[in-house]
This record gives sequence, structure tokens and C-alpha cells, in this order.
Amino acid sequence: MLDAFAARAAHALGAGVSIAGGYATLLRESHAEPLGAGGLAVLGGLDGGLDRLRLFVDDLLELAGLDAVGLHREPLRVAGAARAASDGLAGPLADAATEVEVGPLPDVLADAVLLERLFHHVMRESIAAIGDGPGRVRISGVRRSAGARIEITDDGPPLDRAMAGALFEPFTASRGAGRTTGAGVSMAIARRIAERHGGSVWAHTGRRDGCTIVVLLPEAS
Amino acid sequence: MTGVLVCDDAPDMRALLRDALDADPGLYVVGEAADGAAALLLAETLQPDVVLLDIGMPGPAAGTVVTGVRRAAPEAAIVVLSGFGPERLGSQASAEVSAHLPKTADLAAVRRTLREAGAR
Repeated sequence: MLDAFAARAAHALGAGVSIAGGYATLLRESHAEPLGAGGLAVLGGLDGGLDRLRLFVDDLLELAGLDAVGLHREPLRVAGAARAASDGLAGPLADAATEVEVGPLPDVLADAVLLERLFHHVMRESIAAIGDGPGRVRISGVRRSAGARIEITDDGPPLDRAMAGALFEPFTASRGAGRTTGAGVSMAIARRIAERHGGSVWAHTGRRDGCTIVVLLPEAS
Repeated sequence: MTGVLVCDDAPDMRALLRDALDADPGLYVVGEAADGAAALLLAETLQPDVVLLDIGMPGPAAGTVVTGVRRAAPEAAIVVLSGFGPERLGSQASAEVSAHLPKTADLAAVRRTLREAGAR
């Protein structure tokens, strides 16, 4: 029911965002001279708002369509997916003065696209928590009897223990309110991706600062 | 110049795409379709270089429209612009799509993708 609503809302919002953003672009292209510097600055502000809406809509669409996406599992190097996700978030990471460190990681049996999306969403949550930064995200992992245990740790504000469970529910809680928060479904998407692989995900907080997201995935044999 | 058949059931979206493509020196709109049946008919009649396709339109199922467009206009590239992801299409239809853009893609990305698809 919630997914159906999310999909419906996202399609309606997505069309509106496209049309508003498209006409803002045409206005900038065709009427830059009469708009002047002041008018173009106003359009820049509009672009910023639309970028937030785009992220919101894309999050909803991704959540709503996740269960229908095909799962093509293959042996994968986790480090490659983590680095690809980090590269895709280069702008937000720079804005948050946050560095990503990728340590030793075991190989897993996973869908390459979905694994990158898992890292993308967990790292977005970290960036939102770190805020203006500076910050650090460390990704590492070990082999366990239950599978490949991957940890994504940031040094943002500590996770409220009461919120640890709700963190993975859509639209309920986020550790930050930065631009990467989107629709507040990042951790819900991460959990669904892990579960679709037969894995799991949970969170725990450090003694003083930070948060660690633990992802357990099937190991590549 | 790349001739584009714009297929979207939202009139305001078609109006935006018409304005945006006509403002690009490398693109022009050859026709517009508001549902799947019209897309198939116009693809066959107009033989565009590129069919820009929303896969959430009324009419035949999205996969049927894509494979039908391929038969109707064998040389046309098919670019999907939709809030629905590739999972809405079957594997056979997905293989016929040159590029799949989210509905929220900015105009620069849409134009670039259409130019590249038309140049193949």
C-alpha cells in the first residue's frame, strides 16, 4: 500500500519537477539578457530547490520499483562497488568535506548494480549525518561463517539508540537533514537490497560519536 | 538533424519537450503521440530517427509498444524517458532500447542522449 502510494506520488511529482526544471532551463537559455544577473540568481535558487525535489522523487521511484528489479548475482569485489558509489557521490562528499576510506573487503555473491546502490544509500545517510563536516567514512569487511560482514562506519553524530530500529523504516527517521537525505528512504532501500540477496543489515553506534552500518551478504565461494 | 517522435500522455510534458527540442539546433520534433497506439502508428508513418518514449502511457503494454516500434521503424533509435524503470519492460523489449532516462532527467541530458542516439 505504501509502495503503491510512493509510486503514484513519485510519478505525479516527477512530471511536475521535469516540467518546472525544463522551463527554468529554457528561460535561462532564451532570456538570459533581460533576466540579468539578479534574475539568473533567482533561477539558480529555483534549481537548488528542484534538485532536492528530483532526489526525493528518484528515491521514491527506486523504493517503489526495487522488488521488481531483476537480481543477477555474480561473484563481485565489494571494493569496486564501494568505490563506484563513492565516485558517484563526489559532489556531496566534497560539500561535506568527507573522505571515504575503503579497506580490505571480502568478495560477495551479489548483483553489481544493486550492491552499488546499497553503498550509495548508506553513504548518503552518513553524509547527511556528517552535515558540513569534516568527516570520514570507512568501509571494511571480514569473512564470517554467516557470510561476508561489511561495515560502513562514519564519524558523524552518534546514533540515538532508540532510533536504531526505525532507521531502516521508510519515511521515519534519518540521522541528518542535509541535502542527501532525499525522501528519507535510503536505509530502507539498503535493507531491501540486503534482504533480496538473502542478507541482512543493522546499525550500532559508537561510544561517543559515529555510527556503523553492518551488512551481511552471501560470500562468493 | 535528428528527427524525434515525442510520445508522452501528458500534454504539458509534450509541450515542454517540443519547445526544448526545437530550441536545439541538432534536433527537431517530427510528431507527437499521446498513447501507445498512436506511437506505433506515427512511428510507421513518420519513420523518425529517434522515438522518445514514455513507458507509462495508456494503450498497449510498454513492452508491446517498444517491440512494435522496432518493427514499425526498424532504423529508429528508441529512447525511454519515464518514471518507470527498465524492469517494466521485458528483456526482449529492453534490448531494443538505446537509452533509459528517468523522468526527472534534466533537459541537457535528454538532448544529449537524443543527439547521440540519432547519430548511431
